[in-house]
Amino acid sequence: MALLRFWLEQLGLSTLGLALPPPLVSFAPESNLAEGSPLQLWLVTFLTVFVAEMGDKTQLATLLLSAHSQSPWAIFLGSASALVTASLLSVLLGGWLGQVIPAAWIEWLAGVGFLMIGVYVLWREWQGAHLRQG
Amino acid sequence: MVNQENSSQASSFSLRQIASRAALVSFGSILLAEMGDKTQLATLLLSARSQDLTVIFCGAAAALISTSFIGVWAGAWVARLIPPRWMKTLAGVGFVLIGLGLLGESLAAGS
Repeated sequence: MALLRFWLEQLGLSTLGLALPPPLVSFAPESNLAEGSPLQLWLVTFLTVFVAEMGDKTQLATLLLSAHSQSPWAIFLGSASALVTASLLSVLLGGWLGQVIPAAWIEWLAGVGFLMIGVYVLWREWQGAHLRQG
Repeated sequence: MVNQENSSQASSFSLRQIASRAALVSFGSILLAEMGDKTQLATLLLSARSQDLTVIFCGAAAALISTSFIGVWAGAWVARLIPPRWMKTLAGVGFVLIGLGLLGESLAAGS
């Protein structure tokens, strides 16, 4: 785990590296961004959402809609504003949850949540592969 | 002359109609598709653990605008470059790593 954290930080992904548990002995050099800085939070959010959304069904829908449309700008505006609206909803809802649920539970809930989503995505992806091969 | 002016006015009007209809259709269908999507859940979980909601919203919005842009104008190219299956796998692995990291943090904080 410590080695993984070290390499993530070496790759400049110090923000992701800081998401991992601190090692007993730190191999990692000074991280590039100040801990807890807004820029770090922005970057973590950007990377997480970007990686989650690339290849996602909503991006696929955007691709298909624009392929059949005479006005790709309209599709871009509609799609981008829909996604921003949805993320506004989730930020507000998440913020409310953060107020009503104790902080320790949130940390655990977020961990379990990400874990379950990740496992589900991998399972869906490789279940499909198994069916294709079989 | 008058007929030509009328038809060019008519065609620009109908292009606007097509564009606004396209925008509305994409807005509605993408909004529906995004509800309960993993991207939305990730944003929700990230917002729950942070006080700085504005920063999270800006990060998420920037990422979503970027992927929409890519989807409309570079989607086919990206799909040729990186098979969607690899991207989904990367997303899944990334989420698992983040989840494990957060669980590790919560365990460390609890003990």
